[in-house]
Amino acid sequence: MSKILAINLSPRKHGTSTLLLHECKDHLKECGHNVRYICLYEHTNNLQPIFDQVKDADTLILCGPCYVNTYPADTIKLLQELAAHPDILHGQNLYGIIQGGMPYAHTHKSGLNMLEIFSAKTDLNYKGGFVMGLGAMLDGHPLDNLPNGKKVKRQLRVFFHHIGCGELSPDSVYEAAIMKMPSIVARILARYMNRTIDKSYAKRGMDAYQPTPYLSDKINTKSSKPEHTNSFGQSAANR
Amino acid sequence: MVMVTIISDETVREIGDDILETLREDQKEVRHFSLDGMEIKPCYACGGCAKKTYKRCIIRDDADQILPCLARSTTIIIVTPILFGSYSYKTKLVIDKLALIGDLHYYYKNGELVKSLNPSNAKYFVVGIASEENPKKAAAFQQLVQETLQLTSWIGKAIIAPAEAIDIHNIAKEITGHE
Repeated sequence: MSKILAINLSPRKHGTSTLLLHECKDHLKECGHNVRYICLYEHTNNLQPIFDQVKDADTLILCGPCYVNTYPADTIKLLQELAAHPDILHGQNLYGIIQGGMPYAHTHKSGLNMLEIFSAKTDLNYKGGFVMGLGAMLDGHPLDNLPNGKKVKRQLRVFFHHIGCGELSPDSVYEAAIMKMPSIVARILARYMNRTIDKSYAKRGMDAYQPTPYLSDKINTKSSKPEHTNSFGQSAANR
Repeated sequence: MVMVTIISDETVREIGDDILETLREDQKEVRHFSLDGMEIKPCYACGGCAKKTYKRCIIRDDADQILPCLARSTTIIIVTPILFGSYSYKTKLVIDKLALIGDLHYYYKNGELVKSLNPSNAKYFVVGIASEENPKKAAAFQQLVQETLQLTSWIGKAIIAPAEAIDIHNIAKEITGHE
């Protein structure tokens, strides 16, 4: 029986990352493993409780959302802090889970690449990861709500089994769950999602086609912040 | 108007101003935000920008200075130390907020769904400062930037510069040569 620590890297308490990590935790507990669960965003001011649990664990599972092609900024900070405390890391197995809105694995895969490189740098054993698309559409609801829900559940079980056995989990595990999308389906999906977005904004009295409000903001050229510009021939910071 | 915005994490090397000066030779309007000393708070996925303030972050921080420039820029240059084949923490805090200048809708391009950011035809360059020669890190960084280009429908590239031998003119050439 191994000591497994599941770290939730999502700022949302009830989103898709939380759902996936609870599925993982429940599966591994049923198999007799000692699984602990901790949320990064409850400890961003003091990472010590996370450090203590990482040190005590044999296996780490990092699960979070994909923000612009990789995990959120605070995950990078956590990895940086862990790398700066080598006494905490003692060759634990590391598995990653990343989920994002786009249905394609390649959109989110860079998050796992980062974990793999982090592991090599810190002598952890990176054992693979799971990429799940359409996470935003799921929004924390049960996996059955996904159009490829059955496949995702089946492949997640394979992935969780690899974690439980401490085995390498190849990319083919999650790739088998990714929805194959012919162009007509992609176009229909885009139309469906755009209509949902438009309706949701209209309900709040907003036009989803309005340009970003930042375009109407004045550009502050007299800022005392460390901004530099050559627009007026000198550095703002020196004015 | 050609507006270039440079956002740099100067932790490893301070090259943002050097890039600015070099690009200025081309008579471009260039702005540079050094992230040192700026306070950018994380995106907490609170949904405030979707539900309350229409694409404006409800958190007041120094991103309020950067985002109006980004939304108007025809060229965006990010300078970041490469950390674990990815962006630095400070850089990622800004990148996590890019959706605020984005179009909410999905589009179909080259066989896949994509998003679009303002301005839709912007050029996006990410200069990664590499502290060591590591092909795996370099490949991961290239892949990350390529994915962002595909996702945002922007055009550009990753430019990897070794920390010990940065050639500003070469970086500027790569940027202007791509325009």
